[in-house]
Amino acid sequence: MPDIFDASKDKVYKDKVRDFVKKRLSPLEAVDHYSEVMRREESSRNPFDSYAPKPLMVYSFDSQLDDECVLLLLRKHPITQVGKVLISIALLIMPMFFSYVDFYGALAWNFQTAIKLFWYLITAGYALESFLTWFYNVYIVTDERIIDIDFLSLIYRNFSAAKLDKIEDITAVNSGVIQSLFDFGTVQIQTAAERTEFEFEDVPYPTKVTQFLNEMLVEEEREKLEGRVK
Amino acid sequence: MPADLTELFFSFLKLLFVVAGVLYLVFSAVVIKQIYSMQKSLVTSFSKHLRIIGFVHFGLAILVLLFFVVSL
Repeated sequence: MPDIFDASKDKVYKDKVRDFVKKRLSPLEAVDHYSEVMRREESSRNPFDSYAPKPLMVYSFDSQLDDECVLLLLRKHPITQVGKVLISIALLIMPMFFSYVDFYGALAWNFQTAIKLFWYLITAGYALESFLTWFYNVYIVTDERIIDIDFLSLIYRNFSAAKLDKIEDITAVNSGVIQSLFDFGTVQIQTAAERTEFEFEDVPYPTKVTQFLNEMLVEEEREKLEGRVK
Repeated sequence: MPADLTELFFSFLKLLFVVAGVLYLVFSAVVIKQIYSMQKSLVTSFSKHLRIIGFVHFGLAILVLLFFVVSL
């Protein structure tokens, strides 16, 4: 007598195949199996990307756990840095107008050169410090946690992390003309961890980030149910 | 302005430049220290280039300070 199709058997078979595939894939490849957002994205190779899915240029980060893999790296959208870029350009061209100042014209050539040199040095310092602050203020989503690394100044560092299963609520806030035009905004994450609220400020594609985090939560739940929690 | 006063004024100006140069040198050293600290937080393919930029910035600060000391 022929076997009658049994949906529960088919599901068990599919789950076994998925587990088999996942065990043989790196987390960067496995994420494509449970996240629709990541499936549509290419791996990021550019270290300056502000939205870097499955990044290949991030080798490691502080306090990274064994087998923990970075799935998404976020920075502030480059458009938020336009103000600093304009200030740097203004500082750069300002020495052209020094000669119009009476006091400057009365100085000997060596003092004039010294003022210009020091001005350019300060401009370089400002640009470098601005770049470092933007480059290293990152938000990371791994297969285990969300991480917020903040460098508010050259000497202040704040590192916060929460496990994915502690996440309770995720909201994407996109307000204003500039944010709508360039598709960036803030992702607010409520957690049951020590730090109760994480804010991924001014990150590109907040809706996509929210969707990805939701997919991660579903996968985390599935891992728990199937006893695959690390 | 009498010659003595002018000389005194420029000596004072030179001292100001040298002090500012030394302070900037300290700042550029802090920047290098900070780059190393930031690199520990996040290691990327751009990390070594940033170290080089930090040292170039520090080198420029030394050169400018030398200019202040020697030519002013």
